[in-house]
Amino acid sequence: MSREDDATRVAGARSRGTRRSGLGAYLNFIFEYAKANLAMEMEYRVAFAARVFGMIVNDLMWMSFWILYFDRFPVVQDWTKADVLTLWCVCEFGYGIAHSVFGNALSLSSVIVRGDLDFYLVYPKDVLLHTLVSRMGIASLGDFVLGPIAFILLVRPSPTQVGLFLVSGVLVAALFLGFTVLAHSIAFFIGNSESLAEQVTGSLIHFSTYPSAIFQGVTKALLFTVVPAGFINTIPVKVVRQFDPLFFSVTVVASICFVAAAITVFRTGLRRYESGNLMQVRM
Amino acid sequence: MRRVAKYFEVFKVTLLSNLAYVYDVLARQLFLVIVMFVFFQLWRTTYRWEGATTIAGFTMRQMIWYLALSESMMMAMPRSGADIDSEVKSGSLAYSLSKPYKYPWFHYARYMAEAVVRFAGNLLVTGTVTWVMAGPPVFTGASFAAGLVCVLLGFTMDFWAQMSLGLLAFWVEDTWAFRLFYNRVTMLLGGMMLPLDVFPEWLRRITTKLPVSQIVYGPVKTFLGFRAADWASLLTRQASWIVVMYAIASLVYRSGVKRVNVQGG
Repeated sequence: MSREDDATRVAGARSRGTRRSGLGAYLNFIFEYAKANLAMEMEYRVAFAARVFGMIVNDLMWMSFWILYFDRFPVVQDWTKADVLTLWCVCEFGYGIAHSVFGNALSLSSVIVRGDLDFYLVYPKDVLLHTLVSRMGIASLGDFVLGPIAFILLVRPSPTQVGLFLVSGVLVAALFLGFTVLAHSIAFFIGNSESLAEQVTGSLIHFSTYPSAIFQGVTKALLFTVVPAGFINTIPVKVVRQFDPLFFSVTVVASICFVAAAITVFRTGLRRYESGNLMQVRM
Repeated sequence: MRRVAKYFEVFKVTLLSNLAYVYDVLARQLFLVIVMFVFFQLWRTTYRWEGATTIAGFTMRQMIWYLALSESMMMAMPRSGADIDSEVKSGSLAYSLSKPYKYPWFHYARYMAEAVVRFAGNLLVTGTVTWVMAGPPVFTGASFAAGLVCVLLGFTMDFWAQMSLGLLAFWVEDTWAFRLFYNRVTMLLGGMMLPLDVFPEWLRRITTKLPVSQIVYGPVKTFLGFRAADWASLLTRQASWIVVMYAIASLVYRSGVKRVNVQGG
């Protein structure tokens, strides 16, 4: 019996108990699934704690690199240590939201290629949403927890900046999630593309975690169109440090567009999906 | 001699099977191109903003080649620790015990073959990108040959460290966090992200004493500038650490194998 089966039953039973409609129903569905996934993962407490703390240590190591870098070169193209730490914190928070609750996103191409979508097709909930929430990325919980805490402790922001940071984290989550689903949906069209999707998703993370100021010209243009890293790595200076309403509005629109594009491409791909005729015993 | 020959055969078979998919290996290097591109942008901006021609003794070209070599090395290291972890947990390690080879040395032969192929592929990709962006290589024939010897010893150190960490699965549910921590320490304190020369003096003094600095920093510095005395000193330090790491891995292995229960069926 797989963990997904368990979570489906638990979350299904609970959402039947509290029938709602529209957005409320979906939020309730996500919440119940997250609760069920979390409860299951907590069964293996040592492994759970190791993964969460492991990721926190990993993030702290990366931030140490930037602290060392900015101790040696205090200002690089108007970026300071506080800006780059803000960037890392907002990326951790956004990535944490995207890949803890929607933990199956990074395995989506494998799910498609193996024919595992069959399982989700027979349920009445939205196939994409159901697939994404059916697994929790435990390590990403470390990102989710560390991001805001490190921001408050290391950057010492004002209350307004904390508010802007939290909102920005949600936008970053939408960009990460939308882009990841888009990259993995390629599997509907070209088949075995796990490695490609992994590398494309990795590029977004890589570009997003470096100061926007180091990218110029064509690269900068690409980072505001093809790979949405430009929106993410500009947040520290144009939202948190000095609020630019125009940039913020464009980032909100870009986040919505990437999520909408991801849903559209996934649904288009789903029409081409052929069952894996997967024979599995589910007890 | 026959004892070594069988592991050499394992090395050869793994090498050939990796070479059979050489185009696939190269196609997977897209990410390395991006990594090198971003490094180049970062350091070009830094040198320009600082108005410096050298930083910690590195010219811009040397710095980018340093990062190309260190990245090629780190990305070439197979995740043997993860394989060993899963073999311990799944119990498949028990099958290996009855085979006519030593489990750790079997994995070492496979690790080295995979690492050699990957390192060559990575260097081809990062070298090409670096040559186009920053200029021709900064190493000579002698420094390249000396560097390669140190790279092989660096891989050996990494393998025995990973072996010990993977075998911890005999006692803990999941070794992922330990392996991740070790990998990040090697990346940061081992000098993959930044040459140790850029670190503050107090930290540089500590990190040069750590074994992780002999895994990446030592070999890469040899590529950039070969001096016989430094090379001999590095080889000695690497060899000493290999002995220590092998001893630890053997101890962990022997203690772990005592916990294996084989039942029929």
